[in-house]
Amino acid sequence: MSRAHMFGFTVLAVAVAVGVVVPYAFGSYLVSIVTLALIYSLYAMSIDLMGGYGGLVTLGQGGILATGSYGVAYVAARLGGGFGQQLLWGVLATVLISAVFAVMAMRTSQVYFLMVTLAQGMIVWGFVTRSTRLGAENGLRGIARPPAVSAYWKYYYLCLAIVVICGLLMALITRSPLGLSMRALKDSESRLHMLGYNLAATKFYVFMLSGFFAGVAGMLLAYYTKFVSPSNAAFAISGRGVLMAILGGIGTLFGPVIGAFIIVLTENILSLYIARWTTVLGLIFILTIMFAPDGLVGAGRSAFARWRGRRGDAGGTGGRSDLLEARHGAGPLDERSAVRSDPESGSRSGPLEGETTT
Amino acid sequence: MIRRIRSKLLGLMALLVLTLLAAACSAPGGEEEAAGGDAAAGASAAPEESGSEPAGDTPSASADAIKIGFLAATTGTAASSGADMVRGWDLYWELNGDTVAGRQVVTIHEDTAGDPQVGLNKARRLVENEQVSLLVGPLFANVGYAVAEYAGEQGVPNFQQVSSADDLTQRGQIDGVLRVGGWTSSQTAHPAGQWAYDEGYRRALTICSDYAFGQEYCGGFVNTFTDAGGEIVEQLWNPLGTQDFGTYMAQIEQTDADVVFSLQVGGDSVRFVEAWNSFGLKDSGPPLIGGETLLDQSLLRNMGDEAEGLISVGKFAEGREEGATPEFVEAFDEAYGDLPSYYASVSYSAAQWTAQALEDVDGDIDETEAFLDAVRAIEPDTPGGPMALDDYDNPDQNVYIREVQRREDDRLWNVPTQTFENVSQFWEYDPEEFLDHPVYSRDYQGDGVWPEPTQ
Repeated sequence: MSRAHMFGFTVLAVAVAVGVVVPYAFGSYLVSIVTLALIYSLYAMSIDLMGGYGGLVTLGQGGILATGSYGVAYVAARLGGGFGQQLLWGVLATVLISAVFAVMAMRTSQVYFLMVTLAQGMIVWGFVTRSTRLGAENGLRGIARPPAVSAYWKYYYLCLAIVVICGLLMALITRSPLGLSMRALKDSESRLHMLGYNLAATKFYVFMLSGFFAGVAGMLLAYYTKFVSPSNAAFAISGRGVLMAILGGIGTLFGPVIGAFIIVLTENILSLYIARWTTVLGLIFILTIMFAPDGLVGAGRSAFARWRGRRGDAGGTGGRSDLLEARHGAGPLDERSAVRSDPESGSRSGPLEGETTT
Repeated sequence: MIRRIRSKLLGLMALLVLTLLAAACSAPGGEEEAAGGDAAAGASAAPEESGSEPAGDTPSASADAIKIGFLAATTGTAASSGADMVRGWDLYWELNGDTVAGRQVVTIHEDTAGDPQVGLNKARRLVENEQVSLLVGPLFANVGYAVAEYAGEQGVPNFQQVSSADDLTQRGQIDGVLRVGGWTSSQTAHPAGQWAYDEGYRRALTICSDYAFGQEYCGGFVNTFTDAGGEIVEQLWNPLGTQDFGTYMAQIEQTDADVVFSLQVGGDSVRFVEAWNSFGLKDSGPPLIGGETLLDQSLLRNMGDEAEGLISVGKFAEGREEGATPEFVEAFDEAYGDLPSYYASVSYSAAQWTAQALEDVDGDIDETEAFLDAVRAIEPDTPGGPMALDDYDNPDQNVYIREVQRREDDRLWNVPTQTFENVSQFWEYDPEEFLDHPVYSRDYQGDGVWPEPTQ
């Protein structure tokens, strides 16, 4: 495990180093695009936190993203509040909306969860489109960055720092007890329930955390474009976020970053060279799903693991099933062993050895 | 296991091949779409901090060229209108040459897809990457607000010839954003209310698109109609993208209004006119007055007999026989095989205006204040009629009551039956008093008599 950790840290260090160098190597436009990609990375990671690790894929994260943006925008544009107030209300709005949505969704799972979150995203979109106080379709403008980070490259570094910090926080969360419960959710809800965990509460906390990070991304986005409109909350944004997570590797934290970069760079840079860039993007999606269903990072991990001679599916999704066993041990309540007459003769290895089951 | 590796390799190879194929199928410069031109322009290496590369458009631009960024929604729901914008603008430079005061004018086209985020990104690219001296467009009002804000911040002038959100030249003015060849939503609707009253109608029903543009447009009509003494019987609001107007037609059949005013956009207009006819309202219902986008040429092209004889109000009438209109219509028809819509006309007017202003400042577009003053000083005779910018940077211009007629070559077009000259965005009201009141919205339609007309 620690080798994997070291590898992860190395990758992160390299990525940050590259990130630091970007403004010196490229002009303002490209740096702005990378800033946008970073913001969307955070957004995609928040979706992945809940979806990839928790098995709760949300189709309404765009609504929470927009809530963060609108919170900031409304205070800045309509109320004339200072920078501190804008942040405060951005966070408050996000937390409030996340809580409400979490309560609505926490007793559902699978397809129903998808449907509820989809509806939630639409509610936000519908509300901001109709609300003249929030500018309706014309949106809100007049959002200013604080002077200290007003220049494009300063704002870039700010976003880089925030995204890295949030990424590390999310990594910590996935390794915390809550995170393990969340991963167990994805494995088997009934098993977790049988072990006495409160499913709804787990989902609630996970939803809130995920929503918080999406809100942070939304606030960064508001200061980036200095303009918010209902298209920020449209389903296309929610869908895009999920696509970024899937493309990069759902169930990994770095995957969504890759996915976000691919999509944002394709939209803004590749589109200059190729008129049919949307076709290219579509092809990338299709082929990724067909040949690398764990996403690009997931496929990379699988290939790497196979190359190192390990068994079967030791990819990014592997190792999850051991977590429950690691905490509670394989026992008579284990679903799979219940089928066999003699649990001991099963091909499972001991609970703490970390080997995957077949 | 070897098989799995092979299949993955195969997959990756397939991905590569297909990507290359897709790229080859759309080689830059090979597309007629504006996007192809962008590809050529952006084909230089990753932008360096020291500045941009000269535009690599097909006629190689000299380092001295004047670069203008043109934003339009050439994909999405308004694609045909966006395409007309591009054609109108380009037509001017084709007919008159693209050299002004010794400098070549190079236009870089970008697609906003009707989305404010995309539009902003493209505006950013044009200003920061291509270093344009002027932004023209976009189409939609919400994109317009976003771009105007950005342009104002960057100190790049922005001519908005299509986006008609009232406030941009009223309560929410931004430095450097001028409606060159443009208009406000209510500007065209104000005369309609007065005209309806003069025609003898006293009770009106309005059915307009339920978003900012429709609300501002309708507000203009309601305001002047009620000021003249008329009464609004009912106001219906249909959402953008209404597929079926059946329920609305049923409601209109029940009404006791003596005139119906309708403002629709895009596909909604086509469906509305169709329903108006198929429900028999065209023959037996109250007379219909349409807003400009109900019967604009870009949609009229695709309509049939159901549109013939319908009345609308607009600031461009392609059937007008005076001024610069007939020549423009003929030239457009010859170049593109279509009659021009207002999107084409205002873009052509913007080009004409810009070219003249450039001549007046000897091509020195980067002296922004002097250039904008030159723009304000000109009063061109455009295909829409004579125009002159008011104190709020919106043009006073003609507004026509038009009727849809069939030409000899069997195509439909709008022929003016009455002309209101020199119509201001404030109609006959005192601008300051007008601005004291809120902008037209769903809640505020200008019902009743306010403010007192200065006449």
